[in-house]
Amino acid sequence: MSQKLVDRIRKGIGDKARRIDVRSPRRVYVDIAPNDLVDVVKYLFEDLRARYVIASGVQVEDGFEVLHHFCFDADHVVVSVRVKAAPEKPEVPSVAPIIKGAEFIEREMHDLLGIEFPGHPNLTRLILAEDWPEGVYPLRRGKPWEGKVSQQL
Amino acid sequence: MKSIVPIGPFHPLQEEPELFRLHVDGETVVDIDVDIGYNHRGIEKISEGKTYDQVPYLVERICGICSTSHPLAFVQAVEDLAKIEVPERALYIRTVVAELERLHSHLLWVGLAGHFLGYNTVFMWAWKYREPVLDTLEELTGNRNNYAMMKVGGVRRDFDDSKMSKVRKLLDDVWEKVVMLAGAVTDDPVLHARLKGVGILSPEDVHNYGALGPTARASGVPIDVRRDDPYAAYDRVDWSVITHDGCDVFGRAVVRVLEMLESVKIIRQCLDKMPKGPIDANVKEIPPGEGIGHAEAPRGETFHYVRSDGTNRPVRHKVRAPTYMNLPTFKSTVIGQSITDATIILASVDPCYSCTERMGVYDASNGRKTLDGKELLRLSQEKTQRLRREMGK
Repeated sequence: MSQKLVDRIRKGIGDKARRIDVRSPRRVYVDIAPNDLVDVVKYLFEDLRARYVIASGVQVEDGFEVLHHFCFDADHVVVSVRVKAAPEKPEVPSVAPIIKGAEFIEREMHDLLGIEFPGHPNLTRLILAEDWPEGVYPLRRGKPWEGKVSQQL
Repeated sequence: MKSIVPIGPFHPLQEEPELFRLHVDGETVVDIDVDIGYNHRGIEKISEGKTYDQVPYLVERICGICSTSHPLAFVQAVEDLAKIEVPERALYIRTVVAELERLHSHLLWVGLAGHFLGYNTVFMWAWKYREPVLDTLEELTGNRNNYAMMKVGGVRRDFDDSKMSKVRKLLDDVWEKVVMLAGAVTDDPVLHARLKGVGILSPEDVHNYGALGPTARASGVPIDVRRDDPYAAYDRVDWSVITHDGCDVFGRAVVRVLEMLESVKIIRQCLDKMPKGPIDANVKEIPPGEGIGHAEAPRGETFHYVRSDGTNRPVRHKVRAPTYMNLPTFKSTVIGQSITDATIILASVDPCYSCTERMGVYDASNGRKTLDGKELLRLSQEKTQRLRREMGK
C-alpha cells in the first residue's frame, strides 16, 4: 500500500526528491533541497491532502535537519520530508503560509534551535520568555552560554 | 465597547498554563491571541540525558490525565527505530490500559463540560463514575494514574487473571451509566439549544490547522490513529471510529460520549482474546537510526520522533501533544461567538482544561476589571438556565 503512494509522490515531485527511503511499509522519508520545500509541501498538503502532523528540528554533525511529518491516514503511511540547513545561520523556507498548523512549530524551532524561517507571517517568540537573551538556543549543542542571568532566586 | 479578556495564564486545573487574549466588542469575540510557553519544562532536552528505560517515566509526566499515551507513543517510536516485535499479550495489555484511560479522561471532560454549562448534577455523576475506572486501573497496574506500564519491547507488569471478573463487572456498570449519559446528552432539548451551532470548526479548517481527535471527528473528519496506523491490539478487535457532522460543541460532546461505549467494547474483546505468554521482548540494544511512534490519546494523536546514535540515550526526542494542534483552531471557532459561549468552546477541545477561574474582563480604555472568572461562569450557567426556562424544562 505504501508502494502506490510512493509512486504517486515520486511522479508528483519528480527529481525534486533527492532520495526516497521506504524504511518500512508505514514509514517513508523523502530528502529534498530547501529550495524545493514549499513546492513539495504544497503538493503533499494541497494536492494529495495529507494531514500535517508536526515538524522535528534536529541538530546533526553538519548542521541542522528539519523534518516535516505528514500522515496519509487512508494509506496508513507517515511521510517525513527532510531538508538540511547550514550550521551557521540555519535557514529553511517557511511552510506556514500554506499550512496554518505549522505556525506554532516553526516559531518553536526558531526559539529553541535558532533556525530562521523566511516567509513566516509572525516569527516571534513562542516558548521562550521575552527577556531571554538573544542568540541563546536551549536545544543547541556546543559551546555553553557564558552570559550572566539577570536574576537569581 | 472594545475590551480584552485575558484567560490565564495560570490555573490549578491545567497542567500547562496558557494565556488567551480575547478581543471582545460588546459581547462578541472579534479576535483571539494564544500565548503558550509559560511553563516550558524542557522535557525534550531532559530526555536526551535519560536512557531508553528512563524516558517512559519522564514522558509519562507530561500529562496528568492521559499519562499512558506519551509513553506508548515513545516506546512505539523506539520499536519502529529498532524493528522490535512486541509479544502478543503485551499488545493486549497496552490496549486495555489505553482504553481505560480514555474512559476516565472522557468522563472527566463530560463532568467539567456539565459544570461550565451549569449542569452540576452531570459534573457530580460523571466524576462519580470515573472513580471506579480509576480503582480498576489501580488494581491492574498499581496506580490510579501514571501507571508505568509501558517499556520498550513490551509492558512492565502482567495482568492478574484472578482480577478479570471484577474488571468485567466494572465494564458492565460503566456501560450502563454511559448509555444513560448518552441518552441524557442526545435527548436533552436544552443542551441542543445551548450547544448546537456553537464553536463551528469546518472540515477545511480541520485540515488547515491539523486538528486532531474528537475535535476533528466531530467535524466529520474520520481520523483515528488506532485505525489509520494500527498499533497495540486495535487491529485484532472489532470497533468503529465515531464521527459527527455537526462541527460544533454538541458534536464534540456526542463523539466523546459514544467513544466511551467503543472503549468498553474494545476492553471486553481484549479480555476475551488476550493470549497467555511473555510480556516483554527483552531488548538489550538500540541501533542508530530514527523512528516515529504515534498513539491516539483521549484528545487526539500523540506523536513522538526519536533519533538514536547507537548509545543508550536518544540524541533527539521530539514530542507533540494533541492540544498543540487543537489550540490554534480557536482562531476559527471562537471569533464571532458570544462571550457567554467562549468558556464552553475553549473547553470543547478538552485542552486539559483551560482557565476560566482566572479569566477576567478588563475595560481596555481604563484597565478596570469589569467581569471576573466567577462572573463569566455565572453568565454561561445563566444562559443555560434561561434557555431551560424558555423551553419550560
